[in-house]
Parts: sequence; C-alpha cells; structure tokens
Amino acid sequence: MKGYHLGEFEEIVLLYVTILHDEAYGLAITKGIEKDLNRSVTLSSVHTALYRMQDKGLVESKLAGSSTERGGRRKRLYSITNVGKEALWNARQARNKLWSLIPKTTFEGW
Amino acid sequence: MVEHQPNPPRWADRFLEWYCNPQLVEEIQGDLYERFLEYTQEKGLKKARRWYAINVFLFINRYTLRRHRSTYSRLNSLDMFKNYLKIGWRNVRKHKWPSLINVLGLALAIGCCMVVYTFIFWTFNTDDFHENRDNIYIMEKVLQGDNELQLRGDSPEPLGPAMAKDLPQVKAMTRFTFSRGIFQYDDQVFSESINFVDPEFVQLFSFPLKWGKVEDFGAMDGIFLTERVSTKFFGAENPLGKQVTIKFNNAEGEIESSFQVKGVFEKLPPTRTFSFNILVPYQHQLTLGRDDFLDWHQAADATFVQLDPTADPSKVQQALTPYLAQYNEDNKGWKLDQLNLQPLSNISRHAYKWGNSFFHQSHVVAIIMLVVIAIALLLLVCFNYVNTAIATASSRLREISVRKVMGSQRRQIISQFLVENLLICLVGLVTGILLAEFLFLPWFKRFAGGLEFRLHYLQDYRHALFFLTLLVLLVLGGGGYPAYYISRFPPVEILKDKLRIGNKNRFRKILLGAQLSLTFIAIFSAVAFIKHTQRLKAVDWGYDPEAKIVIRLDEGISYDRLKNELAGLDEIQDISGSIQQLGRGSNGITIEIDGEDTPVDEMVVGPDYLEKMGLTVIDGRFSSPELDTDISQSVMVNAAFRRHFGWDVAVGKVIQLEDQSYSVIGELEDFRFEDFFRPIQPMLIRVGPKSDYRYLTATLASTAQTQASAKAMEGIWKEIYPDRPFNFFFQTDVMDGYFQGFEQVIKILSAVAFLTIFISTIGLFGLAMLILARKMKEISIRKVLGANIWNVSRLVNREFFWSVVLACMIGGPLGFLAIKAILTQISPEMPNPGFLPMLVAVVGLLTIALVAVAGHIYSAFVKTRSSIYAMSK
Repeated sequence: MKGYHLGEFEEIVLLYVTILHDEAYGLAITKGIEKDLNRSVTLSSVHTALYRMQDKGLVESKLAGSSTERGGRRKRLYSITNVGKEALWNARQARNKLWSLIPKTTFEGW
Repeated sequence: MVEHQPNPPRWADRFLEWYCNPQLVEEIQGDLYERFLEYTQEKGLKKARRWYAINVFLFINRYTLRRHRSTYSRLNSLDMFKNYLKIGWRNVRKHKWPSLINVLGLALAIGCCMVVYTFIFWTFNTDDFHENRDNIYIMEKVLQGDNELQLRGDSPEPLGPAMAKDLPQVKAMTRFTFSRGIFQYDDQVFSESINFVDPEFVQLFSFPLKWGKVEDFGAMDGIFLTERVSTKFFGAENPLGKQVTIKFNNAEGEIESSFQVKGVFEKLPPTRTFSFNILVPYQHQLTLGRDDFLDWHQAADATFVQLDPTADPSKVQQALTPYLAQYNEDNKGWKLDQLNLQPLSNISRHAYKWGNSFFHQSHVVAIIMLVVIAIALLLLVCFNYVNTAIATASSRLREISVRKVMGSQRRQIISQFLVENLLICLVGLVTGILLAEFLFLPWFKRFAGGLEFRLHYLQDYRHALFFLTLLVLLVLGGGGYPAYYISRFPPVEILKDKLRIGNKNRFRKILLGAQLSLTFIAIFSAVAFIKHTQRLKAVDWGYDPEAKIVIRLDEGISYDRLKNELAGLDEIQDISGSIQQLGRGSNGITIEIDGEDTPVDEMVVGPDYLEKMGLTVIDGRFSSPELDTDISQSVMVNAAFRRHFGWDVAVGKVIQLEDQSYSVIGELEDFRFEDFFRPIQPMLIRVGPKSDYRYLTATLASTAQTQASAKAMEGIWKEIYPDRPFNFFFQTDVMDGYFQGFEQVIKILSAVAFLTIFISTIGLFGLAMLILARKMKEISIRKVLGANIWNVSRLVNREFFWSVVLACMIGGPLGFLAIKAILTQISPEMPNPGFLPMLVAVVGLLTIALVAVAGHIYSAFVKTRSSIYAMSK
C-alpha cells in the first residue's frame, strides 16, 4: 500500500489526537490548535477532519462515559490506529527528506 | 443554590437536532455547549449565543447530514401510504355526496384557473417566435404637456434612419406605418389595410414565409401578403409574380400603383402582438407625393430597432438626446421630453399606456381582475373542502384514536389526511383540465378578440410546474387546517366518549361567511353591470338616431354628385353632410375667450346637419344655409359650454379661434357626440366647407325598411363609383363599440357569478347534509316532544344565519365600493350602482342558503317519522 497522503490540516489534527492521547475529542483538539499554534480554527472543521480520517481508517473513536460538565452529553474520544501512525510517520519522513535536500547556505544567518 | 445556567438559542439546537445525523448529535452538541459556556464567561451571553448559532450552520456538511435509516422503515411507510389510499377511497365512497361536491367544485375552479393561466402565459410570452425577440425594441415618445406626461407609441419618421446611421449598436431598424388602399386584382376590389415598412422588416422579425424569399422584399414595386389576403384574392394558388394594383389616397387625390406579389407569409403565429395584411416598401411613399422623410413633424406608427446583443439599451437611450432637440424644433405642440426603448418582449403589458395602439395588449386591470377571480374561486373550493372535512371529522375520530393508540404520530395522521385530499384534488385537476380545454377556453377565446392561445402541456416545463404548484396549494389550502384540527384530539378522551367536536367551530363559520361574501360580491357585480348597461342604453342621446343611414366619403368622392343621385330614391327624405359625425368623436381645439386659452371639443358640420339630426336649440338659432356669415363667422355651442364658462346667456358672445373671431348664434341642448367614457364636454360647432365633408347622412321616411334602403343606396353608389367600396353604418349603431366592451364584462361576470353561486350552493348543500346527519338524534327528541318542521328548520338555520349576515355585511360595502370605482371609470356621469344589485344579492344569498338547506330539513323531518329508531342508534 502506498499509504494515505495527509493534508496539512489533517496532519495537525492527527498529531493532536496522538498528543492528547486519552483525552482527544473535538473541542480539546480545537483548543490545542488555537493555543499552541496561535491559529484560529472552527470547531466544525476539526470535526469534519476527524470524520474524514475515521472513514479512511486513520483514527478510531468511542464514546466516553457521561459527565455533568457539558449538560450530560458524552464526548467522542479519538485514538490513532496503526494505519494512522504509518501515515503520520510517512509524512514526517517525507518532510525530513526534503529538509535534508535544502542547500546548507539557505538558512545561514537567517 | 443552583446557579441559573445560560442557554444557547433553542431554535439553533432544534435545527441541529433536525438536520444532524442522530449518531453524531450528542458529541457535536456537547462540544458546542462546552465552548458556549466558556465564551459566555469570556465575552458575554449575547456574543456566545450568536457564536453558537453560526457554528450550528457551519456544521452542515456531508458527514453530519441525516441519512435514511434503513430499508425496513421505508418499506413500512410505503405500506402505510397504501393504507392511507385505501382508507381515503373508502371515505370518498362513504361520503359520496360531499366528495362529489368537492370534486365538482374543484374542477370548475381549476378550469377557470387554467383559462386565466393560459391568458397570462400568453401575455408574458408574446412574440416568442421572433429569433431576435430579446433584442428588438420599440421607440416610445414621452411628451411633456402642461402638467402631465404622455406616452406615445408612434415616433418621428426620421428617427429610425437617423439611429441606424449614427449609432453602431443599432443593427437594423424598420418603421411601421398603417395606411389604407383599394386593392384590386382582376375584378375583385376591396379596401384593405396596408403597411409601409422598411426592407429590414422581414429579416428583423421572424414571421415565417410560405412562398417567396426574405431577400425579395425591398424592391419598389414588390409587396408581401399574409396568407389571409392571398387566399382572399388568389384562393389556394401561389400568387408569386402576379400583378395587382393598389389605389392610395393622398392630399392631391388618388394615385394608382401597380405591384408584383413577391412573397406570402404563413398564417401569422398566434403569439404575435401586432398584425398586418399587406407590406409595401416604405420608400414607395415617394411615388405618392412625398418628397423625403426628413420632417420631424411626420410620424411613423411605430419604429422598431434591433440592437446588437451586447449593446446596453440604457446607453443607447442616452445617445438619443440630440434627436429631442431636432424634434422640438419642428414641433411646436407638446415638448418631447424623452425617447425610450421599450422591449418587444414586454409590449403586450405596456402598450395600453399609449391609449389606442395597434398592439394586442392586455390592460393591467384586466390581468389583475382575472387573477383575483381565479384566486377567489380557488378559495371558495378550498373553503368548501375545509367545511365538509371538519363536519365529517366526528365520524373519523375513532379511527384516528385507534391509529394514535397503535403508535401513529401526529405527523403521520396529518399526512394521511393530506393524502386523502390529494386524491380528491387529483381527480379535480384532471376534470378541470378537461373542462377548460373543451368548454372554458373555446368560450373565452371568442371574445378575447379572436386571440388563439393554447397550452402545449408537454412541451414546456413551466406548465408542469404550474400544475404542481396549484396542486400543492390546493392540498395544503384545503387539507391543511382539517388535518391539523382533526389530528389534535387526545385519543383517550375520544375513546371514552368524553369529547364533542365540530359543533361550535367558529373558524368554520368564518370560512362560510367569507365564502358567502365572495358569492355576494359576484352576484352584486354581475347585476350591477347588467343594470348599468340598461340604464346607459336608455339615456337619451339628445338627437334622433332612428332611420338614418350614414355613408363614409373617402377622398375623391363628390358629396354633391352622390347627393343628387341619392335624392332620386323615394324613401330618402333628407340628406345632409358633415365633417364629424355624431357619436364618432370630435376634435380637440384651443379657443381664446377674453384673452384666456381654454381647450374645448369641436365638431365641424354642414349648415343644415344639426337640424336634420334632430338636435334641440335652447337659445338663439341653428346656422342657416342661406347666410354666408353663418359659415364664416358664427358658431353654436352646447349647454355644457355655457356652464363651463359660467355664462348666463351664450348667444352673442365672441370667441377667438386661430386668430379669427366667431360669434355664438345658438345654444344647443347637450347631446352625445361620443360614448360615455367622458362626461359631456364643452363643445363648439362650426360650419365647414362642402369639399371637406367626410360623411353623408340620409334620413329615411320610416324605420321599416332600413336594410332594403341601404341596399338601394349601395346600388346607386356602384353605378357612380364601381371600383370604390361602399362603407356605411346606421346612426343607431354608433355606440355599439362602447357597449360591446360592456357585454364582454357582463358575460365574464355572469359566468363568474354563476360559478360562485354553484360552488357555494353545493358547498352549503353538503354542509347542511352533514350537520343534519349529526343532529338526527336531537331532531328526533324534539319531534317526539312535539316540535314541528318550523322549529326544526330554525334550529338548523341558526347554523347558517350568522354566516349569511356576515356575508352581507362584508360583501355589501366591498362590492359597492369596487363597482362604484369601476363605473366611475367607464361612465363618470353615472357612477352609482343603485339599490337593485344590493337587493338582488341579499335575496340571492338567502335563496341559496334556503335552497341548499330546505330539502335536507324536509327529508330529515320525514325520516325521523321513525324517531324512536333514530334515537336508539
């Protein structure tokens, strides 16, 4: 299998799914992106990315137990699958490779 | 203490729950809510709520949208649907009469709707056969008068050629001017309408040709005919190349030209907005005494221009400014304020603004009136359906309760009732279309000026769309409320027999009232118009129109010669001539009295014309044929003239007219010199020279043989002028054109009145039947206790009484005001509809109610002979 090529946004979301580990749900990921990357993102776009990646088999999800904090509504927690890990890994490899091809002088004194 | 939780907008939540896939709703709502709470803290409730609503919409995408759940539930709903149809059909059969009434009413209303739709569709799609339809414009003049603007459809003759020369956006132009001529081929001679057009006419428009080629038009001696003219003169054979002659009239007399037939058009397409018979090249007028076409004072009846498809009409319009100055230099009358480009596609709805125009047009008022009638009829049948449906509701309650108990949702019950209504509406629709095609449309076409419109149902998706919309509206309009009403009741109460419904439904009474109001207005208007026509026809014209034959004198006909020959006929008593004919309009002129200009009407007549027409002198005398001064220096006026200027005596006053003084020698009793559209105007009557006479009026000795006398006169005419057509009319017929319009309106209104009466009668009939069926028990008890038939009828009539009263109270003033407004337009002197229409409408309404109810009451009363039986049920 050639592997699925992640989009830039998908890559970020998938990274957060991994980072947040057991606590990865839509809003948490949105907040993470907003805080760490200082980038404004709508809730629905994060959800959509998650649904799409679930369709592709990159993540899997389950409903968490109910709590009182959000009007008793359950969260959907996401975790990365092996396919997802591979896609993420491939993305990183590709990047590293490209970085290594940049002539040394480009970033000198930048 | 429980802190009050802030809430997101409820409608947004509901919307989310509605559209969102149920498996995803919870987490999305949770995430949104969590953040909503945070935002409420940070930014305040208002902003947070707005954020929430916006984000609910942002969540709409292909992952979140609701899907069909399973094939299983779909199968099930199909079964339910079949069940609805079955139950619906059983119901139709159970209530045969009300169902039949509904279908019949629907069919009638839909039939009328179809006629209106066909007419309006025609109005909006006229001239659709022209390939360049969207790029063709008609030049419109905007004239500035003293205090008003006037729109005119004719245009200055040089305008078209100037535009074609100066403006690159103008691809082609053609002028279109009406004329008359005497068309002769072999021994056939007829006066025909002729149009002068520029050579581009044939290519600019797309009238299909039967014989000949488009390029052949333009030669000075080549003419094109329509199929109608071709058949009239040449029969079925191809007339290309045939030589014909046309005699034209001009200022000097008669000029004969000979032409070759170069082309014949197919039957003109039915959606055309203007017609013609014979096309002659515009340039041909140069051989008829015209020197050039450069005079801005001369007008063409219409100028059509074809713009380049990329051109902007408003830019072209701006470029027309230089022509305004040119026009105003040559014309001293009303100032030309603007030249407009009117799109051809819009012309049938615009041309009425030009007064008398040759375009087939539909007046906005007529369109609105027809739409109102169609809507009113549809409302009537919807009300009928609602009423009967509510009245039958009680017999359906058990069924509905059982359905509800078995797990049916309210939505499903509503859809069940709508499906039943759909069943009836479909049958109604099909019957209605058949009615329209075979009955209404042929009838309507006859007095729509012979316009041929028809719908090609399958060729145009818009027709399908219209029928679909109509169906949906009818289903919702008729079935919506009953479905909502019937599905409302709680099943337990029904099954325990605790609920009584349908007895005191105020909504139903209001509907009935509205329905009867419409009927009232329909009866009122029809009677008002019939009565009004009678009254107008009875109005004395102020002269004696009986036994008078009027012959029209065209150019080149000698009044004296004709008079001398006609005098030989025994039955002719008197002969007089005039330039204007009574009943055929007048001139508008401006006179000067004591240095002040006033517009008045003018008639120019022969010296003995007025006396022989039987007008009455109030003061002074008629002009005398013997006195020369009577011809050159005297005028007569009518009484309206004297009143207009506030004089006590008119005779002896001096009037300035075009730098000449005239003294008034006689005042005449008011007389009808035109139809009733205007009140009698101040009028001045002058004596004119014999050479100008346009009409010869022959007074017969008796009214017995007018037709025979006309024949005899034609015989004499043919001896003197064998190649000129004999045009005559009876003086008694001069108002026929005016009354013809009335007769059309009366026909339409009577038809509408008949339909509304019919629909509401059958509606009431069905309703009374249902109400009585429910009241059988009550009637039986009353009868056993000694009630007679009158007591019983009072009981039932109470149900209808208030609706009838309401109808009279609403329909009366409404109908009165509407009709008065219309009558003021058509005969300002007699705007009041009078008392009779009101009386007829009230009596009519009561009769309808009585007829619809009485039969039922009687049969119900008789049926309850076995009262005990009814009670035991």
